[in-house]
Amino acid sequence: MNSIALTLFQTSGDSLFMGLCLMLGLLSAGLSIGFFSILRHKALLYFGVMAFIVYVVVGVANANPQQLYDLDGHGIFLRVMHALLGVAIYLHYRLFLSIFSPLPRSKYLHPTIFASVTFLALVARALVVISLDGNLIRLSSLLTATFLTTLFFYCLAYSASVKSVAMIKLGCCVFTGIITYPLTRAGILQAAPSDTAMSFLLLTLLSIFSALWLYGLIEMARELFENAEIASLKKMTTAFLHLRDLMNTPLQTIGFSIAILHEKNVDLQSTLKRMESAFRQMRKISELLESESHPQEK
Amino acid sequence: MRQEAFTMAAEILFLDDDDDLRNTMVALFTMKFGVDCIGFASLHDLVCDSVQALKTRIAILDVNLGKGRPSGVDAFNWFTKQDFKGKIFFLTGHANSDPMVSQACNTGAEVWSKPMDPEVMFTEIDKILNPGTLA
Repeated sequence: MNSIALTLFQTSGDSLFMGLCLMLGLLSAGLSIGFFSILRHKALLYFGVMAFIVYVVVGVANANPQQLYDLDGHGIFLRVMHALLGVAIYLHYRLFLSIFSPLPRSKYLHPTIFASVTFLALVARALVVISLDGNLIRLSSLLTATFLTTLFFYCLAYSASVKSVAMIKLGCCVFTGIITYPLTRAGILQAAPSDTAMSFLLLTLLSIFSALWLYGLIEMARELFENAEIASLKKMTTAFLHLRDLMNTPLQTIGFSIAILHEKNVDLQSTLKRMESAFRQMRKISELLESESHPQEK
Repeated sequence: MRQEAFTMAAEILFLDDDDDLRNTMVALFTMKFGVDCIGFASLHDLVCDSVQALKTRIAILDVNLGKGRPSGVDAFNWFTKQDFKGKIFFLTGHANSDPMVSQACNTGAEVWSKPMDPEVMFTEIDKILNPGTLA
């Protein structure tokens, strides 16, 4: 872990702008987790942890690309990287389901297909962690690219009626599309690392679109939070209206009883009995109101 | 359940499932106007004594007569089918937003909200029982 942190700082030192992009990405991840603690929407937690993993892996890979191919020299390091990527894939899947629900269905898009592709990508990644083999890494990268491509098409197919979801959709599409390039190059083709300009471009786009994605998630969570508050207020209003309705009949009885008492030759006992009964009803309602305002004492 | 003050034909009918309120109204209006009043707890009881019910001149109906039971609006419809010649009022403890109260408003009959000022009710009832009398 120390070498990972060192590598990140080294990245920041060598290329200030690339380091800033990485910091922006990590900041997005941190903010997302922070907002989760307030808004309590799981999508924020999934995004935060997933983005953090992706940026750590990208940062480390960017700082020293050669170690990605040194299966014998950096065995434990690579296993940890692949395990983290497996976790990121799972979180990406859960994040997608929590935002784009229900999933769009068509001839080629079905939730079962998406679940199956995710499962295969995770299994392949687990196999790489167990046995660090060049061909397994290729297969695993291919399945991860398939997972990301499936996700990309689902994203496109999803109809976003709300601004926040439209922003998330845009961020998700571009982020997913960008990640596929280094995955294909380094994982499937196991080609030489791309030049600095390309890395710079990818990292910049990644950071910008993850920030957009984060903004959309916060907006969505805030909207849900507000809707929950409104629903809670409506429920409370309905409950109070119901209690008020319960009060009206005994109140009416008391009103009429008072009118009776003003008349002469009145049957006092019967009238008083009815007033007593009405009074008991109102006392029950008062007790109900009292217990509703102190639920922890029930 | 049915309750009446005298054995002669009643003038005012009360339909309410709350025993205390129904008995209070019967007692009060009998005392106030010196006329026979009759009370029913449900539409079923009312229909069982339809001869008496249809002879009354005023019917005051509660809207909500209990969960799963015919409502005051059902009673209104029954009265209409029986070609009731008297005046019908609704007396309800629920808000206008309640679906049953909305139905009651749509019948065209006057809807009173509990708790009604007895004097207001007396004035309206007096206009019907004694039409020639000035207020």
